Amino acid sequence: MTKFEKSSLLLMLKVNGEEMQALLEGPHVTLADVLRNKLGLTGTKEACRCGECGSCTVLVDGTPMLSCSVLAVAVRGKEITTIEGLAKGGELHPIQQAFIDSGAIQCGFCSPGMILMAKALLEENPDPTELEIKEHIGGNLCRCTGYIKIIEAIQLAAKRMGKGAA
Amino acid sequence: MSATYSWKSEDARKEEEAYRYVGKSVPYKDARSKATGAAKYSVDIQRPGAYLGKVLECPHTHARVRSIDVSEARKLPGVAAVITADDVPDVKYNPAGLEYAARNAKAAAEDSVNDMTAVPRKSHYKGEAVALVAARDEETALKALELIKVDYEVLPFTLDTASAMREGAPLVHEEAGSNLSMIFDSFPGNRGDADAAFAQADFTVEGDLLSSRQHTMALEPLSCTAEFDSEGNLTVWVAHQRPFILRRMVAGLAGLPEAKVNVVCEHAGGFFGEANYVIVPFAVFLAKEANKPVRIEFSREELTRHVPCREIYQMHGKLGFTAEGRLIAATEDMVVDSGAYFNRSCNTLTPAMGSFSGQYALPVFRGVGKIVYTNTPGTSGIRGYGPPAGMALLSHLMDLGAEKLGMDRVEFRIQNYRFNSANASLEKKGPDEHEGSTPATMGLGLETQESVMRVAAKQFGWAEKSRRPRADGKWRYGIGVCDYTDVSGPQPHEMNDRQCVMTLEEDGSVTVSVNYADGGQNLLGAGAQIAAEASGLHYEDFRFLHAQTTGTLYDIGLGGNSGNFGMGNLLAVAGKMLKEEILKKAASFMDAESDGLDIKDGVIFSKADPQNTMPVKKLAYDSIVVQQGASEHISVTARYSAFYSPMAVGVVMADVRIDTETGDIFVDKLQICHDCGIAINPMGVAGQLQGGGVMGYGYALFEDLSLGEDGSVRGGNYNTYKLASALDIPDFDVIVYENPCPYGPYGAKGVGQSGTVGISGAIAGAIYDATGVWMETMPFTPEKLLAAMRTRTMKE
Amino acid sequence: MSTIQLKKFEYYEPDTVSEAAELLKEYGGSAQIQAGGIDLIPRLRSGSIKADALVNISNIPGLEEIRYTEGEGYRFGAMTRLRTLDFCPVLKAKYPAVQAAIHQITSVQSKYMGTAVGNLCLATPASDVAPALMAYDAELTIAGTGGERKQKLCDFYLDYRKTSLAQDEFVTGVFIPEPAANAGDAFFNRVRTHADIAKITVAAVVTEKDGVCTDAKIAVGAAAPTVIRIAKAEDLLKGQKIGDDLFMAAAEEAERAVAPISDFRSTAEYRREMTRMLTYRALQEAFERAERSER
Repeated sequence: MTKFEKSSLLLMLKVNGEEMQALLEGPHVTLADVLRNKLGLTGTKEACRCGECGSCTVLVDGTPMLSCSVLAVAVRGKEITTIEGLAKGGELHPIQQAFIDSGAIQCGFCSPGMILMAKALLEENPDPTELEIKEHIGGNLCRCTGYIKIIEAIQLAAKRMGKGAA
Repeated sequence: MSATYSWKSEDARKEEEAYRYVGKSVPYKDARSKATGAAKYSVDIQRPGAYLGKVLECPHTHARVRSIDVSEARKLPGVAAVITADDVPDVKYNPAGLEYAARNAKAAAEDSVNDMTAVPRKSHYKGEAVALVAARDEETALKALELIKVDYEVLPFTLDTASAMREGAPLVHEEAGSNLSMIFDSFPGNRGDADAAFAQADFTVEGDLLSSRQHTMALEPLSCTAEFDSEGNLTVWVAHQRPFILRRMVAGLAGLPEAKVNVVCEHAGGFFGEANYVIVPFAVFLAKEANKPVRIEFSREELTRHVPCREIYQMHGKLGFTAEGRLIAATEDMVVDSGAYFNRSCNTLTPAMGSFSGQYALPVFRGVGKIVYTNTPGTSGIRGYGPPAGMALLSHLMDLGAEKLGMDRVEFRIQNYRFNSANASLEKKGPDEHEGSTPATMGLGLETQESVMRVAAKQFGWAEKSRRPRADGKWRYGIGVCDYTDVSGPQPHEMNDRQCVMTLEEDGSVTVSVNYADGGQNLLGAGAQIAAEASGLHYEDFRFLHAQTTGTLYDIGLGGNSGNFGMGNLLAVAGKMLKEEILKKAASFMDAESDGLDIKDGVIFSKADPQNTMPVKKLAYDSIVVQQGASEHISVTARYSAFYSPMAVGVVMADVRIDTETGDIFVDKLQICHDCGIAINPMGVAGQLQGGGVMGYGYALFEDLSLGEDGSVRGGNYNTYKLASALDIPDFDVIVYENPCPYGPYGAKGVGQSGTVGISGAIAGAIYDATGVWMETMPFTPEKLLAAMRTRTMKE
Repeated sequence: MSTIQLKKFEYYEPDTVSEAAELLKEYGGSAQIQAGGIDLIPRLRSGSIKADALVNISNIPGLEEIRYTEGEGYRFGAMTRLRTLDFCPVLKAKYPAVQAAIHQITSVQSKYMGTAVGNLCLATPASDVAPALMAYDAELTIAGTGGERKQKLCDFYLDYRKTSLAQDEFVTGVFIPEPAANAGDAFFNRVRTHADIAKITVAAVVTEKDGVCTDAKIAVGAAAPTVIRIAKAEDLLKGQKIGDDLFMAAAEEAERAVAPISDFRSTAEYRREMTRMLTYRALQEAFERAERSER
């Protein structure tokens, strides 16, 4: 049995391929709090802190999770991917590029979560239908775009990534 | 599948052919930083050593603080400041800053009601802050709040305008003497004798509509960081549309010279209306007392209470017609629930009445607004800024008029337009004759109304759908139309001053110092397209400094569709000036007269001798670096003040299906056709209309900040206040209609908020068409519709 | 008040069910079981529940398993994620109403994190999953320091947000009996927006032989302090010749049996009416499916 006391602890996390350590006030600290406030990775956003908006989505071992509702200690040893980890060597991920090209980013506050959801979707389902896209991002709120261009961006990314693979 | 269509007039086509950047769907200026997570929003600002600010919310709806004891809280280790009403100046202010914004400051001051204090001595609505703390961490701050002892005198409260206006009602602001804070009868577009005109009318129609509490619910939680440096200069990081207005407000409240206050906003996670409201004074006074940087971040629940929602309008409208269906008179009586504070209540009434009275040829109009306090959270102008609910009511009244005469709703509207193909005697007047009146009453921009309506009707299949059966088993089908007008920035009677500095750097790029934070409108991208077009330089050459009041020039800021039009005009002026300066300088280098030179794609060339060229980049470098002793950093200061605000016009059409057994309302098709003048960036225009449209869709059907019996916000997060998700959006077509507007930058008019304006009206009209039920209360829910259908059946 | 950080607690990852139960006993009601955390963490943050300790059961082997035995039924564990159930072909084929209920709730992220058992243990009357499982007469396996016990889901709820769980107990799994060969089911709800908490939920599982109802189970959510079965409506159906009039009579019984409230999602009146309308529609659809499966 593993136990963490109500006291501060040093946690090792693997974020975007890098081993990082953070000093936590205790096991009650959420992953979003660690990423934003202790590791300075403010690309992960928090809009509701109750699991309702999808802004804080990160990938944990490739699975999209709401970092506001995940305890940091619970994901020790797992691969965490945030929006900062998508572009490699200054080269944007095709999904990021598709979001830019489609005009899918307005205020941009929901974009990190949306882009990571799109990544999780396309890795699982490279050629999703419109309904599958809508269902997949149904938990990611956006107040700016009306979602239409976000859906178009994911379709564009699917097309481009499909071509790359073929 | 939602589609986007483009419709261009002959003029639009011709003009756009000549443009290099205007009319092109180029990627938005700051999209890369947002796609990579690099963009910093106010909520991401982490100043070294910053303390966390928290507010003590009053547990009563309406209660006076008899006494407050903060001594224990102050003693708690880790607490740097505790503030109550005793610790802030007893200054009343209005966060809208209307007195600074109006051309006639004296008149506006009379129109504005100063009723807020930085920290109040009583709660005017449930949860209002009565004390503030700053502590080294959240845990300590929460402990400090618990240690504050308050003795409240609990007061009776009033939650709706009808009871608030009754004799003997509890007074939200005792010093005002009444909950009726203002009778707004000075709408500049009031004209003629309405009662006399109604007496002459062959028939009249009337109707009511009560709008709902729509909240901006922008994704970024509202936060503010305030920090004083050792010289006493204050920096405030906050998402804000009007930094200079805010600077003036903060300076006034904190007793600082304006120049010592820097308001900074890098990126904003959505605006949709004024939000900063109370948080900035909180952070500033805490930072001052604590002598440390202080950051406040409202939780989503705090935010829904303390950030204003849309004003609630109880409206009664009446139209008078001739026997042929020509509109001759209209009245609009509005009771405004302004919530606990006045804020900008009278200011949003002007465009609300402007749109209501300016939509059709209308000789006689009387609009009166009663602005009423209630013990509910505050209100403000939210995306659409006044008109959306009124446009829905007007649209319904026009439907009733058409119904009386058995006319088609589209044709009935067209025959009442001021400019239409059948109406030879256009009442066209130049804008100068109308100084002081509203854009709508001037008629600017309304010339395309008929064309926009016909384009919309054709694409929608209005005629075909009109012939469709209305009933099939449990289903009822209906279509609705709502035509609307919307401003392009503030009214001409308001201040509209905008300024910027454009500097040609030695690498040939251009730095623009301007005070606009992009809240997602692609404002700066559109601005760069305009500036590139005007100067002959590349889109990519333009770099915008983040909005901050230090080092930039006074600017009124954003609101009411002013970005595209106001800022666009400013950058067009600046781009032209920069080009002139570059050419002047180039004349000496290129051995030519400056008026014989031009710039294309970043290269200066002689019009007479196209071989004689010089890249702007080289000129920029040479004029700074090579010309030692006479080096010149080419820079221009541009000013623009709008004396016009042409109306953007549009038409929304909706196709709905009603389940009569459940009251479910399915919007099978929504379509918006919007005349934006020239689309600077068509992708951006479509994006604004889609986003605004979906916000309007939520306003029509489910968005409502639900209040409990004590006026408290129920829940206050996204699980109680629902936004449309990707699964909720209707099949939504957008038609970007283009016809150049002579006053706009490269022919552009307003667009940013317009998508929201006509949606409710089209959906309500379609429900009426399907069921014969006019829904008098927003949002239009299945619960209300089912009950109304039953009442209607019982009556029959 | 919703805060940035949660209040401090101790955190355990037990390796066995009995370790977990011992912890619950040790803390005497001040420890919370954490499965997916999608409801727990926000509620700890808002202060609506408190915990001195969190007992994360995700490391206990076997709790994620799904096992279907032909002729017997379908089992899933306390850590079986909603996403796994949503995409389980057996669940969709054998218990379509359960899959339909799961499919339309919450977000994809929450389905990757959250569990169906977690949803049941909230004991909210507005659950969509509970009515579907209740209509299938699902049974819970409950572990405690004294060992294991079984309980029908329809007996599990005592009152609003109150279950039969003792302080040292937690639910380790769910068993859904094999439906009869001639069974049909249906799931309906009404929501303000997709994936919102339901205004009203109705699930029905029926069996039919030669046009006569042989069995019926109807469960309704968001219409009483707990999710409830509508016994009177069920009794009215059994042994009767099926048809719209019968469905409507049963639906009217359902309407009489509920006691909904008004809140920001809907009104009591609407919930009552929709109990009738959705029960009617659910019976129509369930018997249609039953007739199809019989053929």
